Amino acid sequence: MMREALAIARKDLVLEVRSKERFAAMVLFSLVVVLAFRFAFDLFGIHEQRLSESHFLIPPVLWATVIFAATLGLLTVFSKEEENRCIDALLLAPAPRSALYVGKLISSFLPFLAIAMFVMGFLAVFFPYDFRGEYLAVAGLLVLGTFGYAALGVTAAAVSSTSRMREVLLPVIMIPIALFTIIVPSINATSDVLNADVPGALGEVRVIAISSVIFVVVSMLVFDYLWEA
Amino acid sequence: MLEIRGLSKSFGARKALQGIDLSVGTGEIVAFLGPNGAGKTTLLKVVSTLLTPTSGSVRVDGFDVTEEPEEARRRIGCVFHDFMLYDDLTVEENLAFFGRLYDARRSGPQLDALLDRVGLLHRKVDRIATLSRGMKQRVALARAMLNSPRLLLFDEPFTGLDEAAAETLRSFLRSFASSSGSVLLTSHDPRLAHGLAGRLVILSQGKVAREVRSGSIPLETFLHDFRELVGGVP
Repeated sequence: MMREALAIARKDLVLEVRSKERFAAMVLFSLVVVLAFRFAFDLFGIHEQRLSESHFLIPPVLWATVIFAATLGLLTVFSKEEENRCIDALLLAPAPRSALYVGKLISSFLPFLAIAMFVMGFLAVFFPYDFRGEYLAVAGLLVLGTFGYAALGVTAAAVSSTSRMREVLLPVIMIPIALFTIIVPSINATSDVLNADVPGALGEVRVIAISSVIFVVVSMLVFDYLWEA
Repeated sequence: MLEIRGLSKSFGARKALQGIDLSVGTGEIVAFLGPNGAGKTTLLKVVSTLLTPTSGSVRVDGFDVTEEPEEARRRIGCVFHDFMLYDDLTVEENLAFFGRLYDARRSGPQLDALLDRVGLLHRKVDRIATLSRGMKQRVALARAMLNSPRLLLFDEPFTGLDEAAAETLRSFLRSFASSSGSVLLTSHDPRLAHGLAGRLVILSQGKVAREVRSGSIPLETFLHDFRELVGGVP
């Protein structure tokens, strides 16, 4: 199963590197969102001095931007498969269809993680914010959070991929489930790390990790049935 | 090679296939004919495991497509109306990818031999988007042959092909059948099907309206019957 999953992930990444459509859109979008937050804070009189000292404002900005950009990316997870009905050729493979899920999870997670790192960079440049030097811990949370979001998102993208209302359907399916399992715990964990509350952060990490495992297991179990007509 | 018993497929209230019974032996070419909406493509999709039957059974080389779909898929090659190829990958990259996916990894020389067989070796580094429809179909045929299938499913194989390309394809299919492969194809053109297939099955409104051996019926008689059953010859 892993051989097929890796073949799908590799093919997706080759197509992404070749076209750069999805990744470029996500980078530009996240840049715009970071700048929008920056101007909004200026308008409300929250200036550089306060931003650099506020360890509660940055985590929601970081995660809102990452989640918005990742959601944009999820809209096109199956778009290459819809061209020429390539999805049928994938479904004809003599392998469990969960291989398709794992392949798409890998090829979604890696660009999302790269985007998350870009967003950290944008915040460091435009706010500017130094993450109190906790770059590694915040990066670790981004790895975990984006993985969990991708684990849920690929299945939601598969569910919505055949709908003409996919742009509306995908966030409607995803956000309510992700809100208290991935998004809020990720924001809290990042705040805890920036405020040196390690036990608090570990509690939130546990929620994200358990949620991610549940998303992966359930998705692998149901993925076969998503394509049944 | 293929056993279909009491096959029905419904989409909601619409019955696309009703009580289809059919056996396809090794080395046989069987053509399903009928107007648009007769159920030809639905039948191929059920046999290929892309759709599940509403009732009845389909066995490919002894494997039930519902109970053991992965084993059935190992024995099937498919060329459908959409060629199922990635436009932004080259011919070679498409085949290498599907080879890995279908557990049929081929070395460079083996892929070259396969491309040579479909007459596209000289275009192997070109992206699919740059190929003509006929060439794309030949790449799709090469992809379908990657796992050395025993049953080839071909949806409307002659659509959009010029006479030379159609003759090349006919030769390919005859050669495949003569080397112990079986072919199930659909067509809306009874003349082309009569010249190629050993058995002709006319579908109408999801049911088998007539089944004949092409050698047992002259073309004109068959065209007359076809006209009577489905109301016209394209």
